[in-house]
Amino acid sequence: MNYKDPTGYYKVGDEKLPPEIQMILNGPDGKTGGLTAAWNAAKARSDTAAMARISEEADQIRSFCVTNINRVMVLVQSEGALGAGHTATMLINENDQAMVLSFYSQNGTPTGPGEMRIAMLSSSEWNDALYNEGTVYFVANNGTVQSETFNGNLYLTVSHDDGRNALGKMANLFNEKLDYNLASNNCDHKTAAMVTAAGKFYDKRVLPNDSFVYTTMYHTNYWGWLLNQAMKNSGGY
Amino acid sequence: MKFLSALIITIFCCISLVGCDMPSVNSQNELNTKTISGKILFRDPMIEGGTESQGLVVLDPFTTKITPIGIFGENARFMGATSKVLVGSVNKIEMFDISTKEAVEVYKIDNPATKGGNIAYVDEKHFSIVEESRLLLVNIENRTKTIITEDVGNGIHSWSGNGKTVYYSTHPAGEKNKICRLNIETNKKEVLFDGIAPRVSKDGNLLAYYTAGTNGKLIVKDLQSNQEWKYDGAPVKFCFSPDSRYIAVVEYWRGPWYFDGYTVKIWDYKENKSQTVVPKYAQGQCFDIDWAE
Repeated sequence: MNYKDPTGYYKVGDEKLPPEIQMILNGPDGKTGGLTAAWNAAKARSDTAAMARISEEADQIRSFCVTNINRVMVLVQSEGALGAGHTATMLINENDQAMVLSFYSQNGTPTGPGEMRIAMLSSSEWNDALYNEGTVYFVANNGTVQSETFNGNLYLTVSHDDGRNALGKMANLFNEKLDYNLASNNCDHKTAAMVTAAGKFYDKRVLPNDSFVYTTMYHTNYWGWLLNQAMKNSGGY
Repeated sequence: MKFLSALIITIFCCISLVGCDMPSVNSQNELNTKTISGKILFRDPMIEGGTESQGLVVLDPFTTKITPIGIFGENARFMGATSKVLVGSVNKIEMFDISTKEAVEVYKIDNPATKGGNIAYVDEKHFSIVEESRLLLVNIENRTKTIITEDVGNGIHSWSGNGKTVYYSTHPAGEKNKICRLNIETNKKEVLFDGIAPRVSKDGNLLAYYTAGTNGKLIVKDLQSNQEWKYDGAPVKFCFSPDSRYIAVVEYWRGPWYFDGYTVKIWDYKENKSQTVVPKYAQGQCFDIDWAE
Protein backbone atom coordinates (compact mmCIF):
# COMPACT_ATOMS: atom_id res chain seq x y z
CA MET A 1 0.00 0.00 0.00
CA ASN A 2 1.36 3.39 -0.88
CA TYR A 3 1.35 5.93 1.89
CA LYS A 4 1.39 9.54 0.87
CA ASP A 5 1.69 12.43 3.26
CA PRO A 6 2.02 16.14 2.59
CA THR A 7 5.78 15.85 2.49
CA GLY A 8 6.09 13.22 -0.15
CA TYR A 9 5.84 9.65 -1.35
CA TYR A 10 7.05 6.54 0.39
CA LYS A 11 5.74 3.19 1.44
CA VAL A 12 4.78 1.85 4.82
CA GLY A 13 7.60 -0.43 5.85
CA ASP A 14 10.38 1.70 4.39
CA GLU A 15 11.51 2.38 7.95
CA LYS A 16 12.40 -1.30 8.31
CA LEU A 17 14.65 -1.41 5.26
CA PRO A 18 18.46 -1.31 5.52
CA PRO A 19 19.70 2.21 6.28
CA GLU A 20 21.45 2.58 2.92
CA ILE A 21 18.19 1.81 1.09
CA GLN A 22 16.24 4.14 3.36
CA MET A 23 18.76 6.84 2.57
CA ILE A 24 18.34 6.39 -1.18
CA LEU A 25 14.54 6.21 -0.94
CA ASN A 26 13.76 8.88 1.59
CA GLY A 27 16.92 10.77 2.53
CA PRO A 28 18.65 11.38 5.85
CA ASP A 29 15.40 12.13 7.71
CA GLY A 30 13.72 9.02 6.32
CA LYS A 31 10.87 11.03 4.81
CA THR A 32 11.65 13.97 2.59
CA GLY A 33 14.93 13.32 0.78
CA GLY A 34 16.20 10.85 -1.80
CA LEU A 35 13.70 9.53 -4.30
CA THR A 36 10.83 11.01 -2.29
CA ALA A 37 12.24 14.47 -3.02
CA ALA A 38 12.67 13.47 -6.65
CA TRP A 39 9.07 12.25 -6.82
CA ASN A 40 7.86 15.54 -5.31
CA ALA A 41 9.87 17.52 -7.85
CA ALA A 42 8.28 15.53 -10.68
CA LYS A 43 4.85 16.01 -9.12
CA ALA A 44 5.38 19.76 -8.88
CA ARG A 45 5.59 19.96 -12.66
CA SER A 46 2.84 17.33 -13.15
CA ASP A 47 5.25 14.98 -14.89
CA THR A 48 3.29 11.76 -14.52
CA ALA A 49 5.77 9.81 -16.63
CA ALA A 50 8.66 10.70 -14.31
CA MET A 51 6.49 10.07 -11.23
CA ALA A 52 5.69 6.58 -12.51
CA ARG A 53 9.32 5.79 -13.23
CA ILE A 54 10.52 7.09 -9.87
CA SER A 55 7.89 4.94 -8.11
CA GLU A 56 8.95 1.89 -10.10
CA GLU A 57 12.62 2.57 -9.45
CA ALA A 58 11.90 2.93 -5.74
CA ASP A 59 10.08 -0.40 -5.73
CA GLN A 60 13.06 -2.06 -7.39
CA ILE A 61 15.50 -0.50 -4.96
CA ARG A 62 13.41 -1.72 -2.01
CA SER A 63 14.25 -5.25 -3.10
CA PHE A 64 18.01 -4.69 -3.42
CA CYS A 65 20.04 -7.04 -1.21
CA VAL A 66 22.71 -4.99 0.60
CA THR A 67 24.55 -7.82 2.36
CA ASN A 68 26.06 -9.70 -0.57
CA ILE A 69 27.51 -7.06 -2.90
CA ASN A 70 30.56 -8.71 -4.44
CA ARG A 71 31.41 -6.62 -7.48
CA VAL A 72 32.21 -2.98 -8.11
CA MET A 73 32.32 -1.81 -11.67
CA VAL A 74 33.60 1.44 -13.10
CA LEU A 75 31.58 2.37 -16.17
CA VAL A 76 32.91 4.78 -18.73
CA GLN A 77 31.48 6.66 -21.66
CA SER A 78 34.58 7.81 -23.48
CA GLU A 79 32.62 10.25 -25.66
CA GLY A 80 31.34 12.21 -22.68
CA ALA A 81 32.53 15.66 -21.63
CA LEU A 82 34.16 16.70 -24.86
CA GLY A 83 36.08 13.48 -25.11
CA ALA A 84 37.30 13.85 -21.52
CA GLY A 85 34.98 10.95 -20.70
CA HIS A 86 32.34 10.26 -18.11
CA THR A 87 32.54 7.65 -15.38
CA ALA A 88 29.85 6.10 -13.20
CA THR A 89 29.89 3.35 -10.58
CA MET A 90 27.89 0.15 -10.49
CA LEU A 91 27.57 -2.22 -7.54
CA ILE A 92 26.43 -5.79 -8.18
CA ASN A 93 25.36 -8.33 -5.58
CA GLU A 94 25.26 -12.11 -5.64
CA ASN A 95 21.59 -11.97 -6.64
CA ASP A 96 22.81 -10.24 -9.83
CA GLN A 97 21.02 -7.03 -8.90
CA ALA A 98 22.93 -3.88 -9.77
CA MET A 99 22.79 -0.29 -8.54
CA VAL A 100 24.39 2.50 -10.58
CA LEU A 101 25.19 6.08 -9.58
CA SER A 102 26.13 8.77 -12.05
CA PHE A 103 26.82 12.47 -11.47
CA TYR A 104 26.32 15.19 -14.02
CA SER A 105 26.20 18.92 -14.34
CA GLN A 106 22.48 19.73 -14.54
CA ASN A 107 23.05 22.61 -16.92
CA GLY A 108 25.80 20.88 -18.84
CA THR A 109 28.21 23.63 -17.82
CA PRO A 110 31.60 23.24 -16.11
CA THR A 111 30.21 24.64 -12.87
CA GLY A 112 26.65 24.79 -11.57
CA PRO A 113 23.95 22.63 -10.00
CA GLY A 114 24.79 18.95 -9.87
CA GLU A 115 22.46 16.13 -10.77
CA MET A 116 22.80 12.77 -9.04
CA ARG A 117 21.34 9.90 -11.03
CA ILE A 118 20.57 6.44 -9.75
CA ALA A 119 19.30 3.26 -11.40
CA MET A 120 18.69 -0.28 -10.32
CA LEU A 121 19.21 -2.89 -13.00
CA SER A 122 18.34 -6.54 -13.37
CA SER A 123 20.91 -9.02 -14.61
CA SER A 124 19.76 -8.75 -18.22
CA GLU A 125 19.68 -4.97 -18.02
CA TRP A 126 23.20 -4.52 -16.70
CA ASN A 127 24.55 -7.11 -19.09
CA ASP A 128 22.87 -5.19 -21.88
CA ALA A 129 24.40 -1.94 -20.60
CA LEU A 130 27.89 -3.43 -20.31
CA TYR A 131 28.16 -5.50 -23.44
CA ASN A 132 25.46 -4.20 -25.75
CA GLU A 133 25.71 -0.45 -25.21
CA GLY A 134 22.18 -0.72 -23.87
CA THR A 135 20.51 2.37 -22.50
CA VAL A 136 20.43 2.80 -18.74
CA TYR A 137 17.43 4.75 -17.51
CA PHE A 138 18.24 6.83 -14.45
CA VAL A 139 16.11 8.82 -12.08
CA ALA A 140 17.82 11.97 -10.88
CA ASN A 141 17.52 13.59 -7.48
CA ASN A 142 15.88 16.62 -9.14
CA GLY A 143 12.94 14.51 -10.32
CA THR A 144 13.96 14.06 -13.92
CA VAL A 145 14.44 10.84 -15.87
CA GLN A 146 17.61 10.56 -17.91
CA SER A 147 19.36 8.00 -20.04
CA GLU A 148 23.00 7.09 -20.50
CA THR A 149 25.03 4.54 -22.40
CA PHE A 150 28.51 3.27 -21.60
CA ASN A 151 31.20 1.88 -23.87
CA GLY A 152 33.73 0.53 -21.39
CA ASN A 153 33.95 -0.99 -17.94
CA LEU A 154 36.32 -2.20 -15.25
CA TYR A 155 35.29 -5.14 -13.10
CA LEU A 156 36.57 -5.46 -9.51
CA THR A 157 35.61 -8.14 -7.01
CA VAL A 158 35.12 -7.00 -3.43
CA SER A 159 34.19 -8.50 -0.08
CA HIS A 160 30.61 -8.19 1.13
CA ASP A 161 31.66 -5.67 3.79
CA ASP A 162 33.54 -3.51 1.30
CA GLY A 163 30.64 -3.75 -1.12
CA ARG A 164 28.28 -2.52 1.54
CA ASN A 165 30.64 0.33 2.39
CA ALA A 166 30.49 1.39 -1.23
CA LEU A 167 26.69 1.26 -1.15
CA GLY A 168 26.68 3.46 1.96
CA LYS A 169 28.84 5.97 0.12
CA MET A 170 26.53 5.75 -2.91
CA ALA A 171 23.45 6.40 -0.73
CA ASN A 172 25.07 9.44 0.86
CA LEU A 173 26.23 10.81 -2.48
CA PHE A 174 22.73 10.46 -3.94
CA ASN A 175 21.50 12.88 -1.27
CA GLU A 176 24.42 15.27 -1.67
CA LYS A 177 23.45 18.76 -2.76
CA LEU A 178 26.87 20.03 -3.81
CA ASP A 179 27.30 21.89 -7.08
CA TYR A 180 29.05 20.27 -9.98
CA ASN A 181 32.54 21.59 -10.59
CA LEU A 182 34.58 20.26 -13.47
CA ALA A 183 37.83 20.77 -11.60
CA SER A 184 36.95 19.74 -8.06
CA ASN A 185 33.61 17.92 -7.94
CA ASN A 186 32.84 16.01 -11.11
CA CYS A 187 31.59 12.53 -12.00
CA ASP A 188 35.03 11.03 -11.57
CA HIS A 189 35.40 12.34 -8.02
CA LYS A 190 32.23 10.42 -7.11
CA THR A 191 33.50 7.29 -8.83
CA ALA A 192 36.78 7.58 -6.94
CA ALA A 193 34.90 7.99 -3.65
CA MET A 194 32.79 4.86 -4.19
CA VAL A 195 35.61 2.67 -5.50
CA THR A 196 37.83 3.76 -2.64
CA ALA A 197 35.01 3.08 -0.16
CA ALA A 198 34.99 -0.46 -1.54
CA GLY A 199 38.65 -0.77 -0.56
CA LYS A 200 39.97 -0.61 -4.10
CA PHE A 201 42.63 1.69 -5.53
CA TYR A 202 41.41 4.35 -7.96
CA ASP A 203 44.02 6.24 -9.94
CA LYS A 204 42.29 9.61 -10.03
CA ARG A 205 43.54 11.72 -12.90
CA VAL A 206 42.44 15.05 -14.28
CA LEU A 207 40.31 13.54 -17.04
CA PRO A 208 37.82 10.73 -16.34
CA ASN A 209 39.02 8.81 -19.41
CA ASP A 210 42.58 8.88 -18.04
CA SER A 211 41.40 7.77 -14.58
CA PHE A 212 39.65 4.86 -16.21
CA VAL A 213 42.65 3.87 -18.34
CA TYR A 214 45.19 4.05 -15.50
CA THR A 215 42.92 2.44 -12.90
CA THR A 216 42.29 -0.37 -15.35
CA MET A 217 46.04 -0.66 -15.92
CA TYR A 218 46.64 -0.80 -12.15
CA HIS A 219 44.19 -3.65 -11.67
CA THR A 220 44.92 -5.63 -14.79
CA ASN A 221 48.57 -4.86 -15.60
CA TYR A 222 50.17 -3.79 -12.34
CA TRP A 223 53.77 -3.89 -13.62
CA GLY A 224 52.82 -1.77 -16.58
CA TRP A 225 51.20 0.69 -14.24
CA LEU A 226 54.34 0.75 -12.03
CA LEU A 227 56.50 1.43 -15.05
CA ASN A 228 54.14 4.20 -16.07
CA GLN A 229 54.38 5.70 -12.59
CA ALA A 230 58.16 5.51 -12.65
CA MET A 231 58.23 7.30 -16.01
CA LYS A 232 55.81 9.91 -14.73
CA ASN A 233 57.80 10.51 -11.54
CA SER A 234 61.04 10.81 -13.45
CA GLY A 235 59.51 13.35 -15.79
CA GLY A 236 59.51 10.88 -18.64
CA TYR A 237 56.35 12.40 -20.07
CA MET B 1 53.02 16.07 -13.83
CA LYS B 2 51.55 18.80 -11.61
CA PHE B 3 52.47 21.31 -14.26
CA LEU B 4 50.80 19.16 -16.90
CA SER B 5 47.63 18.81 -14.82
CA ALA B 6 47.49 22.54 -14.16
CA LEU B 7 48.02 23.22 -17.85
CA ILE B 8 45.20 20.88 -18.88
CA ILE B 9 42.80 22.42 -16.36
CA THR B 10 43.75 25.93 -17.49
CA ILE B 11 43.23 25.05 -21.14
CA PHE B 12 39.89 23.40 -20.35
CA CYS B 13 38.66 26.42 -18.35
CA CYS B 14 39.83 28.89 -21.01
CA ILE B 15 38.04 26.95 -23.72
CA SER B 16 34.90 26.81 -21.58
CA LEU B 17 34.89 30.49 -20.70
CA VAL B 18 36.01 32.00 -23.98
CA GLY B 19 34.23 29.76 -26.40
CA CYS B 20 30.71 29.79 -25.11
CA ASP B 21 29.20 31.08 -28.32
CA MET B 22 31.46 29.36 -30.77
CA PRO B 23 29.82 27.04 -33.28
CA SER B 24 30.22 23.33 -32.82
CA VAL B 25 32.93 21.50 -34.70
CA ASN B 26 31.43 19.69 -37.63
CA SER B 27 33.54 17.81 -40.10
CA GLN B 28 30.62 17.41 -42.47
CA ASN B 29 29.48 20.09 -44.86
CA GLU B 30 26.38 22.04 -44.01
CA LEU B 31 23.02 21.22 -45.46
CA ASN B 32 20.20 23.52 -46.47
CA THR B 33 17.29 22.54 -44.21
CA LYS B 34 14.87 24.67 -46.23
CA THR B 35 14.28 21.71 -48.48
CA ILE B 36 13.30 19.45 -45.62
CA SER B 37 9.74 18.86 -44.51
CA GLY B 38 7.76 17.02 -41.86
CA LYS B 39 7.97 17.09 -38.07
CA ILE B 40 10.49 15.53 -35.72
CA LEU B 41 9.34 14.16 -32.37
CA PHE B 42 11.47 13.87 -29.24
CA ARG B 43 11.63 14.88 -25.59
CA ASP B 44 12.05 18.51 -24.62
CA PRO B 45 15.74 19.30 -25.05
CA MET B 46 15.64 21.57 -21.97
CA ILE B 47 18.04 23.93 -23.68
CA GLU B 48 19.19 25.66 -20.55
CA GLY B 49 19.38 22.38 -18.69
CA GLY B 50 16.42 23.23 -16.47
CA THR B 51 14.10 20.70 -14.94
CA GLU B 52 10.82 22.49 -15.52
CA SER B 53 9.78 20.31 -18.38
CA GLN B 54 10.45 16.87 -19.71
CA GLY B 55 7.48 16.91 -22.01
CA LEU B 56 7.44 15.77 -25.60
CA VAL B 57 8.00 18.31 -28.35
CA VAL B 58 7.87 18.49 -32.12
CA LEU B 59 10.49 20.24 -34.18
CA ASP B 60 9.86 21.80 -37.55
CA PRO B 61 13.18 21.23 -39.33
CA PHE B 62 12.37 24.00 -41.79
CA THR B 63 12.02 26.74 -39.18
CA THR B 64 13.78 24.85 -36.33
CA LYS B 65 10.87 25.92 -34.13
CA ILE B 66 10.20 23.58 -31.20
CA THR B 67 6.62 23.20 -29.95
CA PRO B 68 5.54 21.24 -26.86
CA ILE B 69 2.72 18.83 -27.69
CA GLY B 70 1.29 18.71 -24.18
CA ILE B 71 2.17 15.33 -22.74
CA PHE B 72 5.02 13.81 -20.75
CA GLY B 73 6.62 10.58 -21.84
CA GLU B 74 9.81 8.71 -22.52
CA ASN B 75 9.59 6.91 -25.84
CA ALA B 76 7.29 8.31 -28.49
CA ARG B 77 6.43 7.57 -32.10
CA PHE B 78 4.19 9.25 -34.62
CA MET B 79 1.22 7.15 -35.61
CA GLY B 80 1.75 7.42 -39.34
CA ALA B 81 1.05 11.13 -39.71
CA THR B 82 1.92 13.90 -37.27
CA SER B 83 -1.53 14.32 -35.71
CA LYS B 84 -1.30 11.40 -33.25
CA VAL B 85 1.55 9.92 -31.28
CA LEU B 86 2.16 6.79 -29.28
CA VAL B 87 3.63 7.76 -25.94
CA GLY B 88 5.51 5.24 -23.84
CA SER B 89 6.14 5.56 -20.12
CA VAL B 90 7.53 3.01 -17.71
CA ASN B 91 4.13 1.50 -16.99
CA LYS B 92 1.86 2.23 -19.95
CA ILE B 93 1.49 3.21 -23.57
CA GLU B 94 -0.89 6.01 -24.48
CA MET B 95 -2.33 7.24 -27.75
CA PHE B 96 -2.24 11.03 -27.77
CA ASP B 97 -4.08 13.34 -30.12
CA ILE B 98 -1.98 16.48 -30.54
CA SER B 99 -4.87 18.72 -31.60
CA THR B 100 -7.38 17.73 -28.92
CA LYS B 101 -4.73 16.94 -26.24
CA GLU B 102 -6.62 13.77 -25.40
CA ALA B 103 -4.67 10.77 -24.16
CA VAL B 104 -6.06 7.25 -24.16
CA GLU B 105 -4.24 4.39 -22.47
CA VAL B 106 -3.89 1.61 -25.03
CA TYR B 107 -1.55 -0.72 -23.22
CA LYS B 108 -0.53 -1.42 -19.66
CA ILE B 109 2.98 -2.74 -19.28
CA ASP B 110 2.67 -5.93 -17.24
CA ASN B 111 6.11 -5.86 -15.71
CA PRO B 112 7.37 -2.31 -15.28
CA ALA B 113 10.61 -3.72 -13.94
CA THR B 114 11.61 -4.21 -17.56
CA LYS B 115 12.14 -0.44 -17.60
CA GLY B 116 9.41 0.16 -20.07
CA GLY B 117 9.48 -1.00 -23.62
CA ASN B 118 10.67 0.10 -26.97
CA ILE B 119 7.65 0.86 -29.08
CA ALA B 120 7.07 1.17 -32.80
CA TYR B 121 4.11 2.13 -34.96
CA VAL B 122 3.09 -0.64 -37.34
CA ASP B 123 -0.11 0.49 -39.07
CA GLU B 124 -3.33 2.28 -38.19
CA LYS B 125 -4.56 -0.72 -36.20
CA HIS B 126 -1.37 -1.94 -34.57
CA PHE B 127 1.73 -0.94 -32.68
CA SER B 128 4.48 -3.13 -31.30
CA ILE B 129 6.35 -3.21 -28.03
CA VAL B 130 9.30 -5.20 -26.72
CA GLU B 131 8.92 -6.58 -23.22
CA GLU B 132 11.49 -8.94 -21.74
CA SER B 133 13.00 -9.59 -25.20
CA ARG B 134 9.59 -10.54 -26.63
CA LEU B 135 8.27 -8.55 -29.56
CA LEU B 136 4.53 -8.12 -29.14
CA LEU B 137 2.08 -6.90 -31.76
CA VAL B 138 -0.77 -5.04 -30.09
CA ASN B 139 -4.14 -4.42 -31.69
CA ILE B 140 -5.14 -0.88 -30.75
CA GLU B 141 -8.88 -1.50 -31.06
CA ASN B 142 -9.36 -4.70 -29.08
CA ARG B 143 -6.06 -4.52 -27.09
CA THR B 144 -5.13 -8.10 -27.96
CA LYS B 145 -1.46 -8.88 -28.23
CA THR B 146 0.42 -11.46 -30.27
CA ILE B 147 3.97 -12.62 -29.68
CA ILE B 148 5.94 -12.13 -32.91
CA THR B 149 9.35 -13.34 -31.77
CA GLU B 150 11.16 -13.89 -28.47
CA ASP B 151 14.78 -13.00 -29.15
CA VAL B 152 14.82 -9.23 -29.61
CA GLY B 153 18.11 -7.95 -28.20
CA ASN B 154 18.11 -4.37 -26.97
CA GLY B 155 14.47 -3.79 -27.90
CA ILE B 156 14.91 -1.28 -30.71
CA HIS B 157 12.95 -2.43 -33.72
CA SER B 158 11.43 -0.90 -36.81
CA TRP B 159 8.70 -1.73 -39.34
CA SER B 160 8.66 -1.17 -43.05
CA GLY B 161 5.93 1.15 -44.28
CA ASN B 162 3.59 -1.68 -45.25
CA GLY B 163 3.66 -3.12 -41.75
CA LYS B 164 4.67 -6.58 -42.98
CA THR B 165 8.37 -6.67 -42.21
CA VAL B 166 10.09 -5.91 -38.93
CA TYR B 167 13.82 -5.35 -38.37
CA TYR B 168 15.44 -5.91 -34.98
CA SER B 169 18.69 -7.14 -33.52
CA THR B 170 19.56 -10.23 -31.51
CA HIS B 171 22.53 -10.86 -29.27
CA PRO B 172 23.51 -14.54 -29.55
CA ALA B 173 25.72 -15.69 -26.67
CA GLY B 174 29.40 -15.17 -27.47
CA GLU B 175 28.69 -13.45 -30.77
CA LYS B 176 28.24 -9.94 -32.04
CA ASN B 177 24.75 -8.49 -32.38
CA LYS B 178 22.98 -9.50 -35.53
CA ILE B 179 20.38 -7.57 -37.51
CA CYS B 180 17.37 -9.75 -38.28
CA ARG B 181 14.44 -9.35 -40.65
CA LEU B 182 11.12 -11.06 -40.07
CA ASN B 183 8.18 -11.11 -42.45
CA ILE B 184 5.11 -11.63 -40.30
CA GLU B 185 2.97 -12.85 -43.19
CA THR B 186 5.29 -15.62 -44.31
CA ASN B 187 6.99 -15.96 -40.91
CA LYS B 188 10.30 -15.96 -42.78
CA LYS B 189 13.15 -14.87 -40.54
CA GLU B 190 16.56 -13.89 -41.90
CA VAL B 191 19.77 -13.02 -40.07
CA LEU B 192 21.24 -10.26 -42.23
CA PHE B 193 24.58 -9.00 -40.85
CA ASP B 194 26.30 -7.73 -37.68
CA GLY B 195 24.66 -4.67 -36.22
CA ILE B 196 22.28 -3.27 -33.65
CA ALA B 197 19.33 -0.89 -33.26
CA PRO B 198 17.97 -0.91 -36.83
CA ARG B 199 15.62 1.72 -38.25
CA VAL B 200 14.19 0.99 -41.66
CA SER B 201 13.08 3.59 -44.19
CA LYS B 202 9.39 3.86 -44.99
CA ASP B 203 9.86 2.27 -48.41
CA GLY B 204 11.79 -0.61 -46.85
CA ASN B 205 14.81 -0.15 -49.11
CA LEU B 206 17.24 1.40 -46.64
CA LEU B 207 18.37 0.42 -43.19
CA ALA B 208 20.12 2.62 -40.62
CA TYR B 209 21.87 0.83 -37.77
CA TYR B 210 24.87 0.81 -35.48
CA THR B 211 27.78 -1.44 -36.22
CA ALA B 212 28.08 -4.16 -33.59
CA GLY B 213 30.65 -3.86 -30.80
CA THR B 214 31.78 -0.97 -28.66
CA ASN B 215 31.82 2.53 -30.13
CA GLY B 216 29.38 1.50 -32.82
CA LYS B 217 29.15 3.68 -35.90
CA LEU B 218 25.98 4.72 -37.65
CA ILE B 219 25.64 3.14 -41.09
CA VAL B 220 22.96 3.62 -43.72
CA LYS B 221 22.75 0.62 -46.01
CA ASP B 222 20.89 0.20 -49.27
CA LEU B 223 19.40 -3.26 -48.91
CA GLN B 224 19.20 -3.73 -52.67
CA SER B 225 22.67 -2.66 -53.77
CA ASN B 226 24.47 -3.08 -50.40
CA GLN B 227 25.92 0.43 -50.81
CA GLU B 228 26.76 1.95 -47.43
CA TRP B 229 27.15 5.44 -46.01
CA LYS B 230 28.92 6.00 -42.69
CA TYR B 231 28.22 8.84 -40.28
CA ASP B 232 31.19 10.78 -38.96
CA GLY B 233 30.16 11.41 -35.37
CA ALA B 234 29.01 9.85 -32.12
CA PRO B 235 25.26 9.26 -32.54
CA VAL B 236 22.95 8.39 -29.68
CA LYS B 237 19.64 8.04 -31.55
CA PHE B 238 18.60 8.34 -35.18
CA CYS B 239 15.68 7.92 -37.59
CA PHE B 240 14.84 8.36 -41.28
CA SER B 241 12.97 11.28 -42.76
CA PRO B 242 9.59 10.34 -44.30
CA ASP B 243 11.09 10.54 -47.82
CA SER B 244 14.14 8.47 -46.75
CA ARG B 245 16.53 11.17 -48.02
CA TYR B 246 17.78 12.25 -44.62
CA ILE B 247 18.54 10.93 -41.17
CA ALA B 248 17.81 12.84 -37.99
CA VAL B 249 20.71 12.17 -35.63
CA VAL B 250 21.04 12.90 -31.93
CA GLU B 251 24.73 12.87 -31.08
CA TYR B 252 27.23 13.95 -28.48
CA TRP B 253 27.96 17.59 -28.94
CA ARG B 254 31.58 18.54 -29.10
CA GLY B 255 31.24 22.26 -28.66
CA PRO B 256 33.31 24.02 -26.04
CA TRP B 257 30.73 25.39 -23.64
CA TYR B 258 27.89 22.89 -23.43
CA PHE B 259 30.46 20.25 -22.84
CA ASP B 260 28.20 17.40 -21.87
CA GLY B 261 25.26 17.82 -24.15
CA TYR B 262 23.71 16.39 -27.25
CA THR B 263 22.82 18.05 -30.48
CA VAL B 264 20.26 17.16 -33.15
CA LYS B 265 21.35 17.20 -36.77
CA ILE B 266 19.84 16.40 -40.13
CA TRP B 267 22.22 14.31 -42.18
CA ASP B 268 22.00 13.96 -45.95
CA TYR B 269 23.82 10.65 -46.08
CA LYS B 270 24.25 10.54 -49.86
CA GLU B 271 25.84 13.98 -49.99
CA ASN B 272 27.46 13.63 -46.55
CA LYS B 273 26.17 17.03 -45.53
CA SER B 274 24.63 17.81 -42.20
CA GLN B 275 22.94 20.71 -40.48
CA THR B 276 22.40 21.30 -36.80
CA VAL B 277 18.73 21.92 -35.97
CA VAL B 278 18.93 21.75 -32.16
CA PRO B 279 22.30 23.06 -31.03
CA LYS B 280 22.02 22.34 -27.32
CA TYR B 281 20.23 19.35 -25.95
CA ALA B 282 20.63 18.36 -22.31
CA GLN B 283 22.68 15.21 -21.87
CA GLY B 284 20.61 12.14 -21.08
CA GLN B 285 17.36 13.68 -22.17
CA CYS B 286 16.84 11.89 -25.48
CA PHE B 287 15.30 8.43 -25.37
CA ASP B 288 13.80 8.28 -28.79
CA ILE B 289 13.36 10.25 -31.99
CA ASP B 290 10.87 9.98 -34.81
CA TRP B 291 10.06 11.87 -38.01
CA ALA B 292 6.84 11.96 -40.01
CA GLU B 293 5.14 14.02 -42.71
